[in-house]
Amino acid sequence: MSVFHIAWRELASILNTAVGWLVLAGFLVIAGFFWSSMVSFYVTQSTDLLTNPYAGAQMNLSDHLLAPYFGNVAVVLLMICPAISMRLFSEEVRQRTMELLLTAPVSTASIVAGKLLGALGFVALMLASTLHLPLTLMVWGSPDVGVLIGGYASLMLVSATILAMGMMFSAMTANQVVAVVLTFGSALVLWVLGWAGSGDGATAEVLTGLGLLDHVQGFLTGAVKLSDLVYFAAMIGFFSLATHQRVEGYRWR
Amino acid sequence: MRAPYWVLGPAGAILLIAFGSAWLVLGGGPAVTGLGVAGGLCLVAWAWLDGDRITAFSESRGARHGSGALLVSALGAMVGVLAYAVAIDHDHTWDLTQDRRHTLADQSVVVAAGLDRDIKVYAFFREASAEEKAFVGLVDRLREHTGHLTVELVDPLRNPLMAEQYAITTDNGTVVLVSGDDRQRLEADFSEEALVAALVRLSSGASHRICWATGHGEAGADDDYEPTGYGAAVIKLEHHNYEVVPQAILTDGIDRGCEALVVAGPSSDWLPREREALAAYVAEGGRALVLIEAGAASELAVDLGRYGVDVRDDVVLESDPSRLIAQGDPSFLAFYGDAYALHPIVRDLQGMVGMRSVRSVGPAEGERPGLVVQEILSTSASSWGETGWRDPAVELIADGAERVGPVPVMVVVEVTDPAAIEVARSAAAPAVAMGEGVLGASGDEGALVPADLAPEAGGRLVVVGDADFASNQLISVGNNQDVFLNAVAWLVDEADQLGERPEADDAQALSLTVAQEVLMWLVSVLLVPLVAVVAAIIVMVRRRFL
Repeated sequence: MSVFHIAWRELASILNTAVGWLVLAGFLVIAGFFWSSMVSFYVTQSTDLLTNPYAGAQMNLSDHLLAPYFGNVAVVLLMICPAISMRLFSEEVRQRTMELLLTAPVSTASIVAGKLLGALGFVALMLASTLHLPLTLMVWGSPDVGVLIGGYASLMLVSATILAMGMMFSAMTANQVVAVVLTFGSALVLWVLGWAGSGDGATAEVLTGLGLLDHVQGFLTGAVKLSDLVYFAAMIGFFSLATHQRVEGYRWR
Repeated sequence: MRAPYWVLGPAGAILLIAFGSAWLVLGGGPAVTGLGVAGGLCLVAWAWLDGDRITAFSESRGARHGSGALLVSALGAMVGVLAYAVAIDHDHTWDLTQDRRHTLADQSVVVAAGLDRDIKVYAFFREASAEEKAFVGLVDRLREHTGHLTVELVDPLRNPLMAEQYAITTDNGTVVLVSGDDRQRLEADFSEEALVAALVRLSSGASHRICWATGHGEAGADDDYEPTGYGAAVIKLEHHNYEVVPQAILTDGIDRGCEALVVAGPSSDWLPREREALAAYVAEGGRALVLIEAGAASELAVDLGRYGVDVRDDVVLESDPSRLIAQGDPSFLAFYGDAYALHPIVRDLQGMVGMRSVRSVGPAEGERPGLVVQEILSTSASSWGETGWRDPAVELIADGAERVGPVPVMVVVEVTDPAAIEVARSAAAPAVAMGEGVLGASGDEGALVPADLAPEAGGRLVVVGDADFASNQLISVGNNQDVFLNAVAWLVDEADQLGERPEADDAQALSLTVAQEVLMWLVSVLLVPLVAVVAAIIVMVRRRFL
């Protein structure tokens, strides 16, 4: 229960500030802009499809609208998640409430899990606020629900990974700016590793396997791979464990 | 002041990380080795020169906890890597899509698993394009079932030399499959069906020779435009490594080199000598697929009785709406579920077969030694074979003389003893060559029967009471193509070709009016974000004034 209590406290602390809602508003503007412009482009392409079926024979909503849209939103989350995670522990240290938290009758694991869940709850709220976009598509077209589920699952998993990494950096420094720069830089590296890994050979395979991009592609097309799930679980688990070790270190000081 | 020997530690660590990275990327060399040696030397020098400080730090409480934390984190990372490696080895994909886009068709799995030669796939796509991703996903799924398939992605714009070597003229996508000296090429269509067909063509060395009977008013085998033509069916056969050649029975008889004969919807009847030619062909172990429309080729239909097949002069009608494709047309039947018998041609079909104006085709009454006849496709219990279908005045209800459901419409025959098929030999001299003087030889039923007829067991026959299910108009309906291709595959003993084939993806057009687009933009870019902005203002006001 303490995990959810901490998660709720964390979520409430975000929603009780105007900045939290403005971040949400900004995200919705960007996601909405991506969506409406991509739908408009698809509609234009569909006109070609009607007059030249050969050209558009391979065109479908899943590959040419939903997957690119979710891919773009994932990049936006890459920038927003570090800003959400930067304050998870840095803020406690800065406000000198860390000692209070550590002396509370909760385990370090509960603190770490609760904070991660709280931040993830805010991302879930952000993503839930975009559900009306594909719902309108269901009125006007026939998108594949499986691809929609896969797309949202991928966004949650990418966010959870970046948040866990950001939480680790936040626990390592009292400076939120340092935390956000480290998180964003590392997330960017994880993202572009997939590009660096394009090509043949063991190196390319290792780099691609390490990067986020390759593990998102399957979800974006409605295919959930066991290896992708394990990758995200391993990444989230590792960063959470590292955070746990770091927070435990405060008890030794 | 002490010399800053501690610099050697981070420097050594950086050099060793650089060594590891360079070794991964470049794979060795003197410069890489030099990095490793330099990093190691730095660490040794640091330990030697700054030993007392290292010792003091290592004995501190923070260092003890820090090293413990590092160890636990490293162990956690190792567990993660191990779990990921195991997951890669035992990977499994859950397909969330409604049309099972990420699940290979049965036949594709069989083809991939049956590959016995290495095939390299050169995929020329624009880098990171949707087409490239979709194609790579498809190849990956096939590779889960074979170790003989490798793929190399090539962007023709970035690698013009290779594009030139493989004669790539577009960056919209071209796939070249290479196995030894053999090549197959895909352009425009990179679907599962097209790729698997290319694999089949590449992997099975020789193609099967299928003879297409002509001369009886059949719709064109080379006509892929008119709805009644069989051009689409022939193209699919050719994609699956069959060579389709026309066979004019009346003038040429039936070539012994035909691995199977397809008789697709004759509208005029076969002459007796042609029917004897067919009998001789089957008695010699030949294989034939006979698609016969209701009311057509009545003498051929009756003659099929010698193979133990009862082809009736009726049209099967259905009273159960759930078994009809077009409501209001009781002759346009949908076959699914229990309509399929346990036979390789139909047993793996998951979908529906659609046939229109089908005549009943079942095993003939009475035991026929030497012939094994099995009905493999039948209608529901609420159907019947309407014999009065030609007369508009006849009320369309089942009466006592008519065959009532389930009505068989497709049978297979296996000849275990060719003596069961009576073949009329030529009354003329035995040296009559195939087709020689046939047109003038009236009354000689055995004129097209080879003089050196050598009966042997193994003949096969598939008879369907409908022909247009394989026409251009209907072959793409449900599993129609599977029934047709499976029948040919079963006739030529191609077990790899049996199964349910992938369906082509449908393009999805999306049309919005200008008003709808404006509404979408207003809601998604303005209205919904505005709600969040209002919430931010409320929170700000509450925090400031309440």
